[in-house]
Amino acid sequence: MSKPIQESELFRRLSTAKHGVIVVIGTGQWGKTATVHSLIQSGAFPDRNVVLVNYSKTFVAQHSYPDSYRALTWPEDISEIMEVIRPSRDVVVVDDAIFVAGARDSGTRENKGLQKMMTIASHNELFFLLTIQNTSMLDISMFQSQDVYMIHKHMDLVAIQNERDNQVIAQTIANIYLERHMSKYKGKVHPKSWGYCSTTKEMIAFDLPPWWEPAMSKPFYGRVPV
Amino acid sequence: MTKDSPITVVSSNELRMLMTALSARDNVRSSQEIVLHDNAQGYLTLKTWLEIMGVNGKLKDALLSVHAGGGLSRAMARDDLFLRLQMLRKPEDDEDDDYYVCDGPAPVDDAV
Repeated sequence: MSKPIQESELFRRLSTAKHGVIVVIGTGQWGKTATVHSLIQSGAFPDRNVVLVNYSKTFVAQHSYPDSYRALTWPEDISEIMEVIRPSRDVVVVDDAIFVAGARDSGTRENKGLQKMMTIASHNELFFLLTIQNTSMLDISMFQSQDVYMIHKHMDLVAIQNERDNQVIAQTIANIYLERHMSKYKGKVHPKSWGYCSTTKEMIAFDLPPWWEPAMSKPFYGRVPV
Repeated sequence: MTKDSPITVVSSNELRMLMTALSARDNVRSSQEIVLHDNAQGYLTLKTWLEIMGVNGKLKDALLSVHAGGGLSRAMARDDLFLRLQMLRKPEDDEDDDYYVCDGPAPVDDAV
């Protein structure tokens, strides 16, 4: 039986919280970016604007994003971040978070900036939505100071074997659930729409927003984010 | 494995995936268990009941092994597996898998 997401525990918690980190994880081309925008479209973050980190302004202008969306280049100096992100009013989307938060680059200025941003997110009442292919690529410190919600998309076996210990089982269970739903609702629900929230233990079918264009799933196509 | 067996361990893709994940872990320490069983809830109910009644040691193991039979149990470390056990049970054919649909904001009249 299906119910609107507004009745889910995930929605209830997000819509009543003032800050948090939502991590959408899974193998590439399984709809992580679309899931992020579907969740925003659901009204889980009412009255907030959406910041697209390191998207090009041209890309945002050329596609049919809602007026509340804007591109932002991550500043060189973290102290400048509050000049471009508005406390209590923004949802910050870090697509392919590896570009700014890769574990192997944990000492970079950008990564330290993001970690600091995570740490102070609660004080600034911000939501961060990250997409990532594997948490082993994401600095673990990002998960330590905030309320973190994990939404799993399908992940292939090789990627699971390279996952952090505490994510191996969670993702394996998620895959079992995801595949079960893909099979059971084949032809009724698009397989890429499924996501499993391991935080609230809920299965969710994320439909594409009405303004969605296929090119939006590859915002960095043809360029390397700076 | 006969059709009527209370134990169901099949070479499904899901099981192979889980076994691969399990075998990839090289440091198993805690007493938490994964139970692959078509009645995992029954297994855990019996286990909890035995613990409450003070049945421990070989007697407890023997009683549980009868229930677990050819099922697979495996100790794992640090994971909150208990709550996930029911996901591993064999779904009944007519069992409905509840899910939520994220297809936009709620209608104004129904807004949460």
